[in-house]
Amino acid sequence: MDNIIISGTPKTPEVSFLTSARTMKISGRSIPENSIDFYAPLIEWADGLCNSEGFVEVNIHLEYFNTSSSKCLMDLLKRIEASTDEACINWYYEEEDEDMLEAGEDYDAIIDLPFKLIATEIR
Amino acid sequence: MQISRISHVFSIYMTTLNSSNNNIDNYDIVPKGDLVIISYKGIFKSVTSEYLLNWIERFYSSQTFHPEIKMKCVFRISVELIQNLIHHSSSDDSVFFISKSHDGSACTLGTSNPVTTDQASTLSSLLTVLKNTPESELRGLKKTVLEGESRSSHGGGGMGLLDLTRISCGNIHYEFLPWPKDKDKLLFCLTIHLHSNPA
Repeated sequence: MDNIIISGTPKTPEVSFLTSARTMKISGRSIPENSIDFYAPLIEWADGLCNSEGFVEVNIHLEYFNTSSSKCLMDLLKRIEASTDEACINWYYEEEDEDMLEAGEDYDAIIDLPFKLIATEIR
Repeated sequence: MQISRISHVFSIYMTTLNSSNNNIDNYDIVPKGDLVIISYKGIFKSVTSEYLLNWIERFYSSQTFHPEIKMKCVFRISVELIQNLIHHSSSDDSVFFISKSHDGSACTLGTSNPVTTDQASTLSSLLTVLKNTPESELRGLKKTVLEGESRSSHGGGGMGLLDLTRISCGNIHYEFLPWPKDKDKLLFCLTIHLHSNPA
Protein backbone atom coordinates (compact mmCIF):
# COMPACT_ATOMS: atom_id res chain seq x y z
CA MET A 1 0.00 0.00 0.00
CA ASP A 2 1.28 3.44 -0.90
CA ASN A 3 1.11 6.32 1.53
CA ILE A 4 -1.53 8.96 0.90
CA ILE A 5 -0.20 12.48 1.28
CA ILE A 6 -2.52 15.33 0.28
CA SER A 7 -1.84 19.00 0.90
CA GLY A 8 -4.58 21.05 2.48
CA THR A 9 -6.62 23.54 0.49
CA PRO A 10 -9.17 26.15 1.65
CA LYS A 11 -11.84 23.45 1.27
CA THR A 12 -10.13 20.13 1.85
CA PRO A 13 -7.96 18.91 4.70
CA GLU A 14 -4.34 17.93 4.77
CA VAL A 15 -4.10 14.16 4.75
CA SER A 16 -1.20 12.00 5.82
CA PHE A 17 -1.93 8.27 5.77
CA LEU A 18 1.31 6.37 6.35
CA THR A 19 1.49 2.65 5.77
CA SER A 20 4.65 1.76 7.69
CA ALA A 21 3.83 4.01 10.66
CA ARG A 22 0.23 2.76 10.58
CA THR A 23 -1.05 6.24 11.25
CA MET A 24 -3.76 8.34 9.65
CA LYS A 25 -3.91 12.08 10.10
CA ILE A 26 -6.57 14.47 8.81
CA SER A 27 -6.14 18.14 9.67
CA GLY A 28 -7.31 21.59 8.63
CA ARG A 29 -10.65 22.26 6.99
CA SER A 30 -13.02 19.83 5.44
CA ILE A 31 -15.76 21.65 3.58
CA PRO A 32 -15.78 20.16 0.06
CA GLU A 33 -19.04 20.32 -1.87
CA ASN A 34 -18.73 16.62 -2.62
CA SER A 35 -17.26 14.89 0.39
CA ILE A 36 -17.69 11.39 -1.05
CA ASP A 37 -15.26 12.17 -3.86
CA PHE A 38 -12.67 13.21 -1.31
CA TYR A 39 -13.20 10.59 1.38
CA ALA A 40 -13.95 7.44 -0.64
CA PRO A 41 -10.27 6.72 -1.44
CA LEU A 42 -9.32 7.39 2.19
CA ILE A 43 -11.94 4.96 3.48
CA GLU A 44 -10.75 2.31 1.05
CA TRP A 45 -7.13 2.84 2.12
CA ALA A 46 -8.08 2.65 5.82
CA ASP A 47 -9.91 -0.59 5.18
CA GLY A 48 -6.79 -2.06 3.61
CA LEU A 49 -4.54 -0.97 6.45
CA CYS A 50 -6.86 -2.12 9.22
CA ASN A 51 -7.18 -5.55 7.68
CA SER A 52 -3.44 -6.09 8.10
CA GLU A 53 -1.96 -6.87 11.48
CA GLY A 54 -0.83 -4.14 13.86
CA PHE A 55 -2.04 -1.20 15.86
CA VAL A 56 -3.50 1.77 14.01
CA GLU A 57 -3.52 5.37 15.24
CA VAL A 58 -5.99 7.88 13.83
CA ASN A 59 -5.44 11.59 14.44
CA ILE A 60 -8.18 14.03 13.53
CA HIS A 61 -7.42 17.70 13.99
CA LEU A 62 -10.00 19.67 12.08
CA GLU A 63 -10.71 23.34 12.32
CA TYR A 64 -14.07 23.17 10.53
CA PHE A 65 -16.01 20.49 8.74
CA ASN A 66 -19.30 20.62 6.89
CA THR A 67 -22.16 18.24 7.48
CA SER A 68 -21.37 16.05 4.49
CA SER A 69 -17.80 15.67 5.78
CA SER A 70 -19.20 14.68 9.17
CA LYS A 71 -21.03 11.80 7.52
CA CYS A 72 -17.91 10.73 5.64
CA LEU A 73 -15.80 10.91 8.80
CA MET A 74 -18.37 8.66 10.43
CA ASP A 75 -18.04 6.23 7.51
CA LEU A 76 -14.26 6.26 7.91
CA LEU A 77 -14.37 5.61 11.64
CA LYS A 78 -17.04 2.94 11.29
CA ARG A 79 -14.94 1.16 8.68
CA ILE A 80 -11.94 1.19 10.99
CA GLU A 81 -14.10 -0.04 13.88
CA ALA A 82 -15.46 -2.87 11.74
CA SER A 83 -12.01 -3.93 10.56
CA THR A 84 -9.96 -3.94 13.76
CA ASP A 85 -10.14 -3.49 17.49
CA GLU A 86 -6.45 -2.57 17.57
CA ALA A 87 -6.92 1.12 16.92
CA CYS A 88 -7.25 4.38 18.78
CA ILE A 89 -8.65 7.71 17.72
CA ASN A 90 -7.21 11.03 18.85
CA TRP A 91 -9.64 13.89 18.32
CA TYR A 92 -7.95 17.29 18.65
CA TYR A 93 -9.96 20.45 19.21
CA GLU A 94 -9.00 23.99 20.06
CA GLU A 95 -9.76 24.82 23.66
CA GLU A 96 -12.95 26.91 23.84
CA ASP A 97 -14.17 25.42 20.57
CA GLU A 98 -17.23 23.76 22.06
CA ASP A 99 -18.61 22.72 18.68
CA MET A 100 -15.55 20.64 17.86
CA LEU A 101 -15.49 19.19 21.36
CA GLU A 102 -19.17 18.22 21.07
CA ALA A 103 -18.56 16.71 17.66
CA GLY A 104 -15.76 14.59 19.12
CA GLU A 105 -17.98 13.51 21.98
CA ASP A 106 -20.68 12.46 19.50
CA TYR A 107 -18.25 10.29 17.52
CA ASP A 108 -16.90 8.87 20.77
CA ALA A 109 -20.42 7.87 21.81
CA ILE A 110 -21.02 6.05 18.54
CA ILE A 111 -17.64 4.46 17.74
CA ASP A 112 -16.57 1.61 19.94
CA LEU A 113 -12.81 2.22 19.92
CA PRO A 114 -10.50 3.99 22.39
CA PHE A 115 -11.19 7.68 21.76
CA LYS A 116 -9.19 10.55 23.22
CA LEU A 117 -10.43 14.14 23.18
CA ILE A 118 -7.37 16.38 23.23
CA ALA A 119 -7.59 20.14 23.74
CA THR A 120 -5.01 22.26 21.95
CA GLU A 121 -4.09 25.89 22.34
CA ILE A 122 -5.92 28.39 20.16
CA ARG A 123 -3.82 29.13 17.09
CA MET B 1 -13.58 34.00 -16.60
CA GLN B 2 -15.85 32.74 -13.87
CA ILE B 3 -14.40 35.23 -11.43
CA SER B 4 -15.11 38.12 -13.78
CA ARG B 5 -18.70 36.94 -14.08
CA ILE B 6 -18.99 36.86 -10.32
CA SER B 7 -17.73 40.39 -10.04
CA HIS B 8 -20.84 41.52 -11.94
CA VAL B 9 -23.25 40.21 -9.39
CA PHE B 10 -21.17 40.00 -6.26
CA SER B 11 -21.55 43.01 -4.06
CA ILE B 12 -20.40 44.14 -0.72
CA TYR B 13 -22.75 46.64 0.76
CA MET B 14 -22.34 48.84 3.74
CA THR B 15 -25.67 50.49 3.31
CA THR B 16 -28.60 50.66 5.64
CA LEU B 17 -31.62 48.91 4.24
CA ASN B 18 -35.14 49.92 4.97
CA SER B 19 -38.44 49.43 3.27
CA SER B 20 -38.01 52.46 1.02
CA ASN B 21 -34.40 51.84 0.17
CA ASN B 22 -34.36 48.22 -0.78
CA ASN B 23 -31.94 48.45 -3.65
CA ILE B 24 -31.31 44.74 -3.91
CA ASP B 25 -33.85 42.40 -5.54
CA ASN B 26 -35.42 39.79 -3.31
CA TYR B 27 -33.75 41.10 -0.18
CA ASP B 28 -36.93 41.79 1.72
CA ILE B 29 -35.81 39.20 4.24
CA VAL B 30 -32.95 41.39 5.43
CA PRO B 31 -33.93 42.72 8.85
CA LYS B 32 -35.06 46.32 8.63
CA GLY B 33 -32.27 48.74 9.48
CA ASP B 34 -29.52 46.14 9.17
CA LEU B 35 -26.26 46.80 7.38
CA VAL B 36 -25.72 44.29 4.58
CA ILE B 37 -22.12 43.23 4.79
CA ILE B 38 -22.00 40.85 1.88
CA SER B 39 -24.49 39.71 -0.70
CA TYR B 40 -24.52 37.61 -3.83
CA LYS B 41 -27.24 36.91 -6.34
CA GLY B 42 -26.78 34.42 -9.12
CA ILE B 43 -26.03 30.78 -9.77
CA PHE B 44 -24.03 29.17 -6.98
CA LYS B 45 -21.07 27.05 -8.04
CA SER B 46 -17.93 25.82 -6.36
CA VAL B 47 -15.96 28.85 -7.46
CA THR B 48 -18.67 31.15 -6.12
CA SER B 49 -18.42 29.44 -2.78
CA GLU B 50 -14.63 29.86 -2.65
CA TYR B 51 -14.92 33.52 -3.48
CA LEU B 52 -17.68 34.22 -0.96
CA LEU B 53 -16.09 32.28 1.90
CA ASN B 54 -12.78 34.01 1.30
CA TRP B 55 -14.54 37.39 1.49
CA ILE B 56 -16.45 36.42 4.59
CA GLU B 57 -13.27 35.56 6.45
CA ARG B 58 -11.56 38.74 5.36
CA PHE B 59 -14.51 40.97 6.10
CA TYR B 60 -15.41 39.44 9.41
CA SER B 61 -12.11 40.57 10.86
CA SER B 62 -12.81 44.13 9.69
CA GLN B 63 -16.30 44.24 11.20
CA THR B 64 -17.30 45.06 14.73
CA PHE B 65 -19.33 42.20 16.11
CA HIS B 66 -20.21 41.41 19.67
CA PRO B 67 -17.62 38.91 20.99
CA GLU B 68 -20.37 36.32 21.44
CA ILE B 69 -20.91 36.25 17.67
CA LYS B 70 -18.00 34.03 16.71
CA MET B 71 -16.35 33.97 13.33
CA LYS B 72 -16.38 30.17 13.33
CA CYS B 73 -20.12 30.16 13.79
CA VAL B 74 -20.72 32.68 11.00
CA PHE B 75 -18.38 30.71 8.74
CA ARG B 76 -19.99 27.33 9.46
CA ILE B 77 -23.47 28.68 8.78
CA SER B 78 -22.26 30.35 5.59
CA VAL B 79 -20.73 27.08 4.38
CA GLU B 80 -23.96 25.15 4.89
CA LEU B 81 -26.19 27.83 3.38
CA ILE B 82 -24.00 28.32 0.31
CA GLN B 83 -23.56 24.58 -0.23
CA ASN B 84 -27.33 24.07 0.07
CA LEU B 85 -27.72 26.46 -2.84
CA ILE B 86 -24.97 24.74 -4.83
CA HIS B 87 -26.65 21.35 -4.37
CA HIS B 88 -30.31 22.29 -4.54
CA SER B 89 -30.70 25.42 -6.67
CA SER B 90 -29.74 26.04 -10.27
CA SER B 91 -31.58 29.34 -10.46
CA ASP B 92 -29.70 32.54 -11.22
CA ASP B 93 -32.14 34.20 -8.81
CA SER B 94 -30.55 32.47 -5.83
CA VAL B 95 -29.45 34.86 -3.10
CA PHE B 96 -27.09 34.73 -0.14
CA PHE B 97 -26.46 37.60 2.26
CA ILE B 98 -25.05 38.47 5.66
CA SER B 99 -26.21 41.52 7.54
CA LYS B 100 -25.63 42.92 10.98
CA SER B 101 -27.43 45.23 13.34
CA HIS B 102 -25.99 48.71 13.82
CA ASP B 103 -24.52 47.92 17.22
CA GLY B 104 -23.08 44.59 16.05
CA SER B 105 -25.05 42.65 18.63
CA ALA B 106 -26.93 40.63 16.01
CA CYS B 107 -26.01 39.06 12.73
CA THR B 108 -28.38 37.61 10.14
CA LEU B 109 -27.46 35.17 7.40
CA GLY B 110 -29.99 34.35 4.74
CA THR B 111 -30.70 32.72 1.43
CA SER B 112 -33.55 32.72 -1.01
CA ASN B 113 -34.13 30.52 -4.02
CA PRO B 114 -37.10 29.32 -6.07
CA VAL B 115 -38.45 25.86 -5.26
CA THR B 116 -41.24 23.71 -6.59
CA THR B 117 -44.37 23.31 -4.49
CA ASP B 118 -43.34 19.71 -3.73
CA GLN B 119 -39.94 20.91 -2.50
CA ALA B 120 -41.68 23.59 -0.45
CA SER B 121 -43.87 20.99 1.18
CA THR B 122 -40.86 18.80 2.06
CA LEU B 123 -38.86 21.75 3.41
CA SER B 124 -41.80 23.03 5.41
CA SER B 125 -42.36 19.63 7.04
CA LEU B 126 -38.69 19.22 7.92
CA LEU B 127 -38.29 22.74 9.28
CA THR B 128 -41.48 22.47 11.30
CA VAL B 129 -40.14 19.34 12.98
CA LEU B 130 -36.75 20.95 13.64
CA LYS B 131 -38.24 24.15 15.03
CA ASN B 132 -40.51 22.16 17.34
CA THR B 133 -37.68 19.99 18.62
CA PRO B 134 -36.40 21.23 21.98
CA GLU B 135 -32.82 22.47 21.85
CA SER B 136 -31.84 19.81 24.35
CA GLU B 137 -32.97 17.09 21.92
CA LEU B 138 -31.37 18.46 18.77
CA ARG B 139 -27.99 17.01 19.64
CA GLY B 140 -29.45 13.54 20.07
CA LEU B 141 -31.29 13.92 16.79
CA LYS B 142 -28.07 14.94 15.07
CA LYS B 143 -26.30 11.88 16.46
CA THR B 144 -29.06 9.64 15.15
CA VAL B 145 -28.86 11.17 11.68
CA LEU B 146 -25.06 11.06 11.76
CA GLU B 147 -25.11 7.38 12.60
CA GLY B 148 -27.77 6.58 9.99
CA GLU B 149 -26.90 5.03 6.67
CA SER B 150 -28.59 7.55 4.38
CA ARG B 151 -26.27 9.46 2.08
CA SER B 152 -26.93 11.86 -0.75
CA SER B 153 -24.85 11.72 -3.92
CA HIS B 154 -22.48 14.33 -2.49
CA GLY B 155 -22.12 12.69 0.90
CA GLY B 156 -24.63 14.60 2.99
CA GLY B 157 -27.65 13.05 4.51
CA GLY B 158 -30.15 15.69 5.49
CA MET B 159 -28.00 17.14 8.23
CA GLY B 160 -27.60 20.66 6.89
CA LEU B 161 -30.84 22.19 8.20
CA LEU B 162 -30.50 20.25 11.44
CA ASP B 163 -27.01 21.59 12.00
CA LEU B 164 -28.14 25.12 11.15
CA THR B 165 -30.94 24.83 13.70
CA ARG B 166 -28.49 23.68 16.37
CA ILE B 167 -25.82 26.27 15.68
CA SER B 168 -28.38 29.09 15.79
CA CYS B 169 -30.02 27.75 18.97
CA GLY B 170 -33.27 27.46 17.03
CA ASN B 171 -33.14 30.99 15.60
CA ILE B 172 -33.86 29.74 12.11
CA HIS B 173 -36.82 31.16 10.21
CA TYR B 174 -38.35 30.48 6.83
CA GLU B 175 -41.13 31.58 4.58
CA PHE B 176 -42.34 30.84 1.08
CA LEU B 177 -43.16 33.87 -1.04
CA PRO B 178 -44.85 34.04 -4.45
CA TRP B 179 -42.29 34.05 -7.26
CA PRO B 180 -43.56 36.22 -10.10
CA LYS B 181 -41.25 34.65 -12.68
CA ASP B 182 -42.93 31.26 -12.41
CA LYS B 183 -46.32 30.84 -10.76
CA ASP B 184 -45.67 27.13 -10.26
CA LYS B 185 -42.74 27.94 -7.95
CA LEU B 186 -42.29 29.67 -4.64
CA LEU B 187 -39.36 31.66 -3.29
CA PHE B 188 -37.92 29.82 -0.30
CA CYS B 189 -36.46 32.38 2.12
CA LEU B 190 -34.35 31.09 4.97
CA THR B 191 -32.81 33.32 7.62
CA ILE B 192 -30.68 32.56 10.63
CA HIS B 193 -30.25 35.09 13.39
CA LEU B 194 -27.28 35.13 15.71
CA HIS B 195 -27.59 37.26 18.79
CA SER B 196 -25.05 38.19 21.40
CA ASN B 197 -27.57 36.80 23.85
CA PRO B 198 -29.39 33.95 22.08
CA ALA B 199 -31.66 33.27 25.06
